[in-house]
Amino acid sequence: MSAFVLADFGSTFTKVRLVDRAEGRLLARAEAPTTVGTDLMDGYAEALAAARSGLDEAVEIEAEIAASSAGGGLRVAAIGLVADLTAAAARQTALNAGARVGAVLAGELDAEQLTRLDAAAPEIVLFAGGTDGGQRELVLANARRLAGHGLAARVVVACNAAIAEEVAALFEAAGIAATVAANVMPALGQLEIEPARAAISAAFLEHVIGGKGLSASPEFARMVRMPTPEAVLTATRLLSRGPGQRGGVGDVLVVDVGGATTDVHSDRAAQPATPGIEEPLLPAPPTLRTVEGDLGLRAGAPGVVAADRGWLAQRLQGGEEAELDRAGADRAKRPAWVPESVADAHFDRLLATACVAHGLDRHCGTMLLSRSAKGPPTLVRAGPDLREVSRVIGTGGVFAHGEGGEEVLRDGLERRSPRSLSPREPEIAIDRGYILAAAGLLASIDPEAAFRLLQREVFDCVQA
Amino acid sequence: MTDLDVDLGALLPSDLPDGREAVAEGRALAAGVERARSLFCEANGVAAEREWRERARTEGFACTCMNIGLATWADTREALGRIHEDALSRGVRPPDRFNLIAERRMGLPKDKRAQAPQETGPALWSEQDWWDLAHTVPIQPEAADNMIGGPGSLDNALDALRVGITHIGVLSQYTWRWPYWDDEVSQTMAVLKAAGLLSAFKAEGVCFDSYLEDGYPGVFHDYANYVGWAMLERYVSEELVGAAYSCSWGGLTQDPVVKSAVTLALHAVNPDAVPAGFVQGDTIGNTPDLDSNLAVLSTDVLFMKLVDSRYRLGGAPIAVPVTETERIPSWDEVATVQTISRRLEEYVPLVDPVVDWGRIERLRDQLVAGGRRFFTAAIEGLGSAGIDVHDPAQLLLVLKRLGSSRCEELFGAGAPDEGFPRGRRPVLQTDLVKSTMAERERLLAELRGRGQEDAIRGMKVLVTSTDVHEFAEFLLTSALAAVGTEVIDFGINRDPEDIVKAVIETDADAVVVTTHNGVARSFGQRLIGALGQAQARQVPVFMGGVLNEDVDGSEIPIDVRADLNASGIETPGTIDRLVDTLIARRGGGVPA
Repeated sequence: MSAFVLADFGSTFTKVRLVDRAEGRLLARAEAPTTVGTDLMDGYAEALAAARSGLDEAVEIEAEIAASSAGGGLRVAAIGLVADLTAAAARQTALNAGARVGAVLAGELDAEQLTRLDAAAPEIVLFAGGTDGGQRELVLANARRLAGHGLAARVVVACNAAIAEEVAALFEAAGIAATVAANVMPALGQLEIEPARAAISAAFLEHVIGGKGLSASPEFARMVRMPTPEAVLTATRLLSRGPGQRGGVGDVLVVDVGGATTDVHSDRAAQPATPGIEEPLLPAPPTLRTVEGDLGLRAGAPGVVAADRGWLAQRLQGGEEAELDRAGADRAKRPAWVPESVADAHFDRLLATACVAHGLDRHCGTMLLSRSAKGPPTLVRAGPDLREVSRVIGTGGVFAHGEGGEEVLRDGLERRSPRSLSPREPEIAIDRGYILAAAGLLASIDPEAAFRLLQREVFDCVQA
Repeated sequence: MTDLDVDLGALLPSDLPDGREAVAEGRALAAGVERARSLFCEANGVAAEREWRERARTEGFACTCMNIGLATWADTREALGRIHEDALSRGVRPPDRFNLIAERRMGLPKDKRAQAPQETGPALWSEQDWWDLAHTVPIQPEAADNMIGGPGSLDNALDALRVGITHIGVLSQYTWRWPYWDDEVSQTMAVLKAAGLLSAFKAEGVCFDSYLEDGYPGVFHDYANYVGWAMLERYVSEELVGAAYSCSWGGLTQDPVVKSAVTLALHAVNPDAVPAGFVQGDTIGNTPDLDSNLAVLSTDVLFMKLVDSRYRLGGAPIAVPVTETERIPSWDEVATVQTISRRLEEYVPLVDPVVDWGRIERLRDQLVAGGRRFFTAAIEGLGSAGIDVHDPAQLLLVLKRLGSSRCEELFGAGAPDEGFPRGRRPVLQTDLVKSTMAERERLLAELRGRGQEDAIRGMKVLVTSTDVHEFAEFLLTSALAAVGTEVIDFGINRDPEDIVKAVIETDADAVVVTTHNGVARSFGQRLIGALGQAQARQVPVFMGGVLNEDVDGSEIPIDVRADLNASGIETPGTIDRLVDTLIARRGGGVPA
């Protein structure tokens, strides 16, 4: 029997999945602590051995590929001209590339902004600004300042196409590597995320991952195909659209509740404009990833308590209510902590429900009504309209290991605010095998196999 | 179906009284109303105009209507006598009815009328004036313009009923605003009380009239939505209030085939077959050449009569005096077209057999189907958005506040299609929209004909609008593209701050703003301020449209062109001059 090894180098755990590619079947899974202190391949070897030991027969390894969020993941800074136009477009592009976006800069870059940029220590800077054939001077001025300031990062240039080469040359002249991609906002109201996203991915693989010093082995850099969040987003899109010409399962939303953040990924079919409902200046792309840095079960726990204190308090006994802050702070101090009592596990589920509710609320759009002093009101659909999403999938430790994942997801969904454009009546599925990232990874080689894997491992559980 | 995940309840005040209570309050007043019979009803032995129209249907005779409203009530009364006398002297049957085009002050409550500034048209000040309205000549009056719709609705309904008027309107004028009256809630309640009062006399033939073009349909792009809007008004009037709804329409349609189909469609969505108060004659085909307007008049009136006669509608077409677009017609100009109207009745049986009624009926059926879609989408959409569609106050006020274009965009009968200004492909485009398209063609031909195609080629011009008036924006983007500029179409309803953001990203060479919502000065100043803050003040700004602003202490909006010019905004006035100015700025020519 032969197997594909799909690994995920997480910040805490390295997860290994052995998959029968032909059948799209999960053969074995195992985890081992990520060995950042020594060599990442040590933890990988341990996890792989554990996975193989669980099999009845020996397997021949067909290929080994990996996603990684170890060593801080991929750090990107987004630069644009207007905060809610090209800067926002650049930020969304970086998020869709699976990056952690440490800084978003807009307008004329000044000393304060450059200090913020340095503090974020990006590995890649996505440089945007101007529509195609639009703003030149301000964009060139920003490029000159940035080049003069110096950067340890590589730059992906995705600005006004008419000056993109000139901008890249300014960076190159200052000794900063730069690649040109298509403009992230070629015209007002148009987002073009994919080319710049692909350029970030390529830069990550060619230059960033190998340079992090995570492993002495060249094998590590050879194995890694993408940042972990990008793998989850790839799986989301694959499920929704299907491989090749084959249709997928329809619009999909994935909530990934982690220790530090809650990531929400969605993919929806192109959405026709509704007469009478205006779109915001920058439309939401059909494939979308959002990251909530203040919502998580460990490092993010204090943020959840702050965001949802009232709701959490209502669900706890009087004595526990006073302990809310302490429970949040304790979790933040111990990222690898596992609940030891029924009460702790219950509180974790409440935190997860809050993460789902707030994560969805921020990811999905709302319908806004604004009354102007003169004339009729304006109805604006801000953010993506995900009301018709047919499937919502929960992924992350709380779903893979804990009990009651469906309930967490259902309760989180039911808390949708009345005007939210979040899914209304979705079918719920749980990624019990932690398979989404692995499937996204597999899709980079064999989308058909990855689709089969997802269907079998995520949706067959629902029916069972 | 339109599913609105937005709280439209936010458009309503939290303390909006229940409209059903206002209706009940109005109905209760009926007990104290002593009604006389009008001279017309007396002379013809009918209880109400509705009975007369039903006789016209059965017996197959034709009715006519006229609009009348001279400078004062005394002048108007005198004209009524003369018109009646003129018809008799010419041997034609006098008009059956007239609409009193009263002065706008009549829309205010009685005690507020004297303080408001006088405008043109007759006002009724005394009980005697009201009495004379229905007892000067045996022509049945409708209490029409400014009677029901405004804050004075209940006062007018009471006065009209007392003197024997049985068609009272105009429901669609509820979307209007009256001088010194910003309280939409009390206006709504006044309309509903008046409607409740009329409902008490439904069995006696009293009708609540509407004239569609005075409301939102007048600016709709699709005739199917006219039909849907009429269904909405009928729903409010008949289902929620209990008053007989009579639906008049017609003034903004020139094509006789289309007009016939719409008239029939409106009849098809009128289950109680309440006769329309009137069918208004065409007012958009006329030109300053008065003689040529006779062609418009004859064709229009003949077709209105053909439809009325063939389908036994019991309607009353209005022949529009050829002078009406130039001035308020004198009594003899009204009398003249009434005679022409009566003579045209002789041609009806001759022409009817050769008209392609099948084509008109197919068009009618499309409009009815579309109208039903509009109605269903509106009721379901508003219901989903938290509006109690069984409360007439909530329904009326939210429709008023949504505005005409939003209503048509949200609920329109046509399939969504971004190629059309309202975001939907019309089932049947209105004649007004067609004429705007023709104006666009004229403008494009003229600009192309100048031979200046390259003078401003490549200049980046951002075009936008402060409001929802898409046609001006559409004409501008078309015209500027035709002379070679790179148009950045920033759409309608934009804020100054958003315009500046767009200017920064696109590096536009000029900004052109069209405005029609009375905010020209404040918008212009905000735009200039925001451009300055963004260090983009060098970008030239042009404004056009209606350059005025509502200011405290002035009843009418004041012209603000001088203020705009002083703050550095150019106001070229026409699209041609805008193009000239842009050419001059580029250094490619001299403005004419």
